[in-house]
Amino acid sequence: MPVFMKGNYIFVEPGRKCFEVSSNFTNYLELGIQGITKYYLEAKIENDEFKISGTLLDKNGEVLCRLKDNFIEASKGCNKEMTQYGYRIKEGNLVFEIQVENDLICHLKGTIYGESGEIVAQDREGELIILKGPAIIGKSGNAIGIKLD
Amino acid sequence: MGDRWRLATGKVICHDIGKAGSGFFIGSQGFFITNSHVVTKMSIDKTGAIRLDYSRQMFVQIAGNTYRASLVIDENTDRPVVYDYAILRLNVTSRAYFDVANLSEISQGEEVIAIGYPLDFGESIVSKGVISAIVSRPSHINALHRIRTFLTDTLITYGNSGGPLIRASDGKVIGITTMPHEIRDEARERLLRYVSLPGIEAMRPIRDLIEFTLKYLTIGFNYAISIEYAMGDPIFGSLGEGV
Repeated sequence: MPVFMKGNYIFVEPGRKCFEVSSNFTNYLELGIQGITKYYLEAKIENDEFKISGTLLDKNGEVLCRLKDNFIEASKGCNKEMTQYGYRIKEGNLVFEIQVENDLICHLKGTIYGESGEIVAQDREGELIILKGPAIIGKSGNAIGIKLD
Repeated sequence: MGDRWRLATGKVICHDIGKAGSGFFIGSQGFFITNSHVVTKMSIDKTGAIRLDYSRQMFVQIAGNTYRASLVIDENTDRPVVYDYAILRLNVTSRAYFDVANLSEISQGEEVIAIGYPLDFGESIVSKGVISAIVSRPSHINALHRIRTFLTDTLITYGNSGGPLIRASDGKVIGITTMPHEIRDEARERLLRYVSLPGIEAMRPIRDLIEFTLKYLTIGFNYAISIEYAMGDPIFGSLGEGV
């Protein structure tokens, strides 16, 4: 049974830096499991800075690029385009976009594919919707906000 | 120290993009550091993407001599742009250079010295002050990133960009003095729009005042970006040794 949660603040206080995930606000997002799933995305706030790391795949499940703290470490034909408020990862078309609103809310846009080409997460009307686990929304030390299997 | 400092700093001139700033030699390998915004021309396209063109005609003037400079960092990576540094090589080998301070030892209130070529001065200008604070500021290029920054009361104005901020006690460099390249400054954008308004020619004094304000007046502390970002560039790692 699908569960919809909106307007929650998960490990973040209103007015603090956060990521918007499915209309919820959180300090942390993890899609996939590092070293287990071929794709992986970690979005965290460290030293008051939004940091996104991970491995992005194309719709055929092939590795597009690896990100480490917002910088491309390895790429197979995709490039990064900086904007004033974030950046875009492109492979011809837009793959993924990070956009910071008023230095506070970080929006993640685009489509995250799994290793079989399935859609793991996708932005729909400006909201990042998580379609497939494993995923973690919110984290503080060893405490986890919401875990999706 | 004076002559060594003078020979280790230079005025950077980019004829093709109409920019100038300061820079300095760091370490014994001949690398010359300046700000990215001194050697690039930035524009924003219709999609909001930042486009950068590096100068192809970079020259550095040191003690009355002019040397050709070339970029040694990877133009296709955005790290230098985000952290506002550029690393050049000159067609000269300098024996005068700065060493890098141990940044973990730097503290508020320490005396520092800024060296650069502000405004239209052809000689290096030295000014002394203290570290007013060590703060984390948003990158003036990209709001996503934050930069460790030394606020200082040393004199830093247009043309100082790219020069060294050094610790007075041992002459080691701690930061790159930087005049912000304020693409996010809405007030500045508004003033720029006024300058291009039809009919502004008829109000010449107003236009002159706006242009003077845009060029020379700044409010707030001067600052220097920590040298750690330039030193963290892969070019130093790929050499397999420090500077």
